[in-house]
Amino acid sequence: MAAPAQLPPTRPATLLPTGGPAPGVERVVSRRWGRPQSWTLASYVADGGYRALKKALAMTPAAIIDEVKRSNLRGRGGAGFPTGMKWSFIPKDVPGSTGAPSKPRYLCVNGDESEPGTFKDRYILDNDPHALIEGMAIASYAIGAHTAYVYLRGEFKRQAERMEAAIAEAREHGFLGPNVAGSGFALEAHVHRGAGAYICGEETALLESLEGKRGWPRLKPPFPAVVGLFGCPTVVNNVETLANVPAILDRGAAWFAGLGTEKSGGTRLMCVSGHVRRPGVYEVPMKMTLRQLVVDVCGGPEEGRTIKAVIPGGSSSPVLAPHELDVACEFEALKNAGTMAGSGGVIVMDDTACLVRTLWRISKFYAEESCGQCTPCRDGTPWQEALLYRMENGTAEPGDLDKLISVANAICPFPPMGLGNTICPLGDAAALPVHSFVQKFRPEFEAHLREKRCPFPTPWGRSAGAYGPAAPVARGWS
Amino acid sequence: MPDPSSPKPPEKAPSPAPPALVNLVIDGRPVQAKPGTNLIEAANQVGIDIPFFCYHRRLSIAANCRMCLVEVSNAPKLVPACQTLVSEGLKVTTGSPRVLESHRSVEQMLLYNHPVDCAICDQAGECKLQDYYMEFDHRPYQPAQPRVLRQKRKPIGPFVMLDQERCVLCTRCVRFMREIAQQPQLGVFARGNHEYIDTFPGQPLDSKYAGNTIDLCPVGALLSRDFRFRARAFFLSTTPSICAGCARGCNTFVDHYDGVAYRYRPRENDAVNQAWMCDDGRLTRRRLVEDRLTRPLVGRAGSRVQGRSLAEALSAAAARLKPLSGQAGLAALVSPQLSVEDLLAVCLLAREGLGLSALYEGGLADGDEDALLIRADKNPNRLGLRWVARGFGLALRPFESLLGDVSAGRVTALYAAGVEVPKEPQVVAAALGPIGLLVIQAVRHGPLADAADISLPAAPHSEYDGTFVNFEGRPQRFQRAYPEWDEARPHWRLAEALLRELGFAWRWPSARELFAELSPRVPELASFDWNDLGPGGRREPGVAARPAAADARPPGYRERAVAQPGQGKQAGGSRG
Ligand SMILES: Cc1cc2nc3c(=O)[nH]c(=O)nc-3n(C[C@H](O)[C@H](O)[C@H](O)COP(=O)(O)O)c2cc1C
Ligand code: SF4
Ligand code: SF4
Ligand code: SF4
Ligand code: FES
Repeated sequence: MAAPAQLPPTRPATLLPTGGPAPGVERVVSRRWGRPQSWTLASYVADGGYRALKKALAMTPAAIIDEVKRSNLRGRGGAGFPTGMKWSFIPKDVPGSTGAPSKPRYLCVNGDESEPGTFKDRYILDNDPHALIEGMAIASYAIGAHTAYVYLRGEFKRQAERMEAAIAEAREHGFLGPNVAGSGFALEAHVHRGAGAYICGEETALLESLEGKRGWPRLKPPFPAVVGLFGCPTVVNNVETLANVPAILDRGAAWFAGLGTEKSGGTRLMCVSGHVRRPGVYEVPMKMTLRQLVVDVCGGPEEGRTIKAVIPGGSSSPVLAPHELDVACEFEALKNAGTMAGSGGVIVMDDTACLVRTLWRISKFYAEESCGQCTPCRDGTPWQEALLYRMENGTAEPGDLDKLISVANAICPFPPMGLGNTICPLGDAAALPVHSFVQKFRPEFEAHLREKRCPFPTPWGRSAGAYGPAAPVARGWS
Repeated sequence: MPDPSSPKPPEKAPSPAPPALVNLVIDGRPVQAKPGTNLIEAANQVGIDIPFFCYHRRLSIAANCRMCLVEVSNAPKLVPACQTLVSEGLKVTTGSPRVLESHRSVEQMLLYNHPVDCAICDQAGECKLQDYYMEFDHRPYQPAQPRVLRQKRKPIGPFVMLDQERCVLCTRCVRFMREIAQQPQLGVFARGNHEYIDTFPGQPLDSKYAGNTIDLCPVGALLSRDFRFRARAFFLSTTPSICAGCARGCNTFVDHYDGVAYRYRPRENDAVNQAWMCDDGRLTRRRLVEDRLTRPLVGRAGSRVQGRSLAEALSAAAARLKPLSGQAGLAALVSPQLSVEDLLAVCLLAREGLGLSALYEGGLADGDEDALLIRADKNPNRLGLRWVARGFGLALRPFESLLGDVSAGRVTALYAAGVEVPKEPQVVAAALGPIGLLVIQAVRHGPLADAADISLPAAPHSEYDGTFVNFEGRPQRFQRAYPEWDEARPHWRLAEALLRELGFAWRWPSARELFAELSPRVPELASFDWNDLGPGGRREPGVAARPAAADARPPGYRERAVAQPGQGKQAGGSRG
């Protein structure tokens, strides 16, 4: 068992100083980040850890679910689904044959975090694994699960080790195991590392992967709450979602709900990357607008440059133009703005960025990561990529922009939004950026077509031919 | 379809019947369907075809091709018709511009990486990709990048050749192997549009049911190594038949052209073979075409008299059998490969023409068996043989006793209808050496034909109408696909001719009259309607039958002009 102290220290997260620009900001998830040995049990307990678990174990599961419902906690994994409601979908009693125990239930923690632009869960796993474990224990107790799986992105080697060490430590001290905190409730937790597929972050693909199968999303319905892992009722929650739970139990639903807006309780972790002076993970109040976050908190773009576009919630969320940034970093507000809060990955592009190239790179990611199960996504995503590559490379034909839109429409018609033709939302995630980039920045695409080259002078904008023969050509099996 | 002659309006009100039907509207047409029916099947009930690749009603729902998307009134987005179940009051639209555009785009996506080498593709003519292209897409290919290249010809098993480039990744084959054959030997490898179907390392596709994946494959990705490059599917005619490979009696189609059978395909019959058949059964097709005896052989090998016609050979055989009739040394060997009609005539010949009271029971030796289809008894009509022999008061003796009786001198002359024997034919031919007279009726050349004094050419079951009784006692009709080769004739015709030569007056214009006249002697056949051709068995003269979706192509897929079922003028007669 690796002693936690021997693990390499993490790079401290870039943090919003407590009481930063937005008055009254309270740090919930990132509260303990950066403290010495914050990942050890001793440090966690010294900061009041596992108090909430003991409190929860004295409550009824229904009361916990109710508390979480009242806290307005919404899933941080992408869809923003109310967490308490998700837990309440677990069938109360699965009728088995007479006397037989009902089906087991499972809790799965989604730590796959592969969305481009998102890098928050790793900080939780690094800095505060016990907060996650405590949240898992509370959630498991609330839904009646005795086994919890932590599904981590394959690349998270250090995080997986730290999580495993933390689980061992918690078990040693009775916060996991056959008798959690002396309550008689049993819970075992296991860490499972993926093999490097973005799609395994989709909750049903994650379940398939955990079962040892190909990471292909399942058809819904039935939803995991009814038929999940190994055919049993299962809750899948994001790491950040669960890391919020102890604080809710500890300080009360009303306090947590009060931190947020009417429909979204608490604070959010935002991962800001791209052309800003201080990129990093920030814990911000839900009410903070994107412009405040990007300009005031992160310092905005470099001297003399202006913001051209901001992706607000990971690469799959539709892009926002500069005039659209006065929108709160919150689920409903972003939805009303025609985009989505997603996983909190804010990617900022200033005026030196070639958006065709950016979109090509995003499309390449989705073409690479499509699981290949359904036709529109399997064959549409590489097609999008190829068309964008031609545009950037100066070899596009005049009709290519319309073609691009028609391909994106075949994957996910736009508008309306989120109504894809595919099995899982990865198809939407691949098509929505295309729709929104072309809709909002059409002149830039037309300039590429007209000039038959990329008009941007920077190395990143120079004709893609400079990077050798076309990447798409080199792909293939023989 | 409700029967118009019995309207039943009063029934509804009083009975709150539990198996209530769900009412929905598809393209403006009211449809009543059982709860749990999906939209593809419900639309099919009223003759609306929703296109699909991955759906198959005997496999689990994968909903991965997205070809079947339709508009429904209770969801804003298009939903897959294969996955969506009927619900009360649902309105379904299958032909709106939005739906047609989605069909078109899916087709276009599938063709994006497709080689479109239809000219050398066995599937051409019965390819869903081709059909839907003509129906929905009709646009030129607009490549934006080179196609992803994959394995073009990979023998993945003894029966199956895989062309990964043509695959549309519907996973029907994978699901069949997992769910029906229960031998998960196929899988999907790699990811995204690099994905391909393959076998696992060290485990070829050697399941006995692998051939079904070829039928299930909606495109030319899985190909039969027995059929590959031998015929164009669109030239083939199709005739309902029964597989003679084992006692299961799987319902089949014989696909043939110009008197040659090129392949078997399973025909759907829920009671017998669902929609499947085994590869050994498929390979029995070769018995229809290989080493055929099509002219009589007179004289044993070495001292053969050349150029005798069938009529001459028949009278020669009758002349030599006649003096032995009723004598102690004469015996008959009968094979359970013969049809019921053959056996009726042969037993009549044995009983009345040859004066016998017992038969030796021939037939191929037992083989392997499994729980799905394959039966140990490799003969299609053993039960039929037992029934008919009993009906004619003929005892059946095991084949083993024949060889003993020959060597003991108790059998000195043998008439054999069908020469399928449970031992090596060479061994049997040698053991029959001491016999004074050997007259056989055989479909194929072989050691026994060489050993016989007179070999009469018999036709295989693809060349005449008849009946096999499967191991459950289910009589099943097969039909004549094409005329007999040269002078070959059905066993019953040969037996009839021998009877005539022996001075009897039996005459039957066709197997139907024979069955009508002789089957009353066999009580087990009393309830069998000879004109009942079984599911998917009815056809118009000269027109190949509806494939009855055995391979899940849409009904009427091959011949759109086929008449509605139930309107056929002639029920079962052969074509000529
Ligand atoms: C293609 C795809 C990738 C996803 N990747 C992740 C991921 O990496 N991490 C995550 O927490 N949720 C991811 N999700 C969202 C999950 O499906 C699921 O909604 C989430 O784990 C639910 O947790 P929550 O309710 O706590 O948000 C992804 C969804 C899709 C469609
Ligand atoms: S949308 Fe893409 S990732 Fe999702 S199931 Fe279909 S092919 Fe797989
Ligand atoms: S599968 Fe064969 S017949 Fe069908 S489109 Fe492809 S090449 Fe042509
Ligand atoms: S090989 Fe044929 S049946 Fe199998 S997935 Fe490909 S197209 Fe479908
Ligand atoms: S998605 Fe319905 S048939 Fe393939």
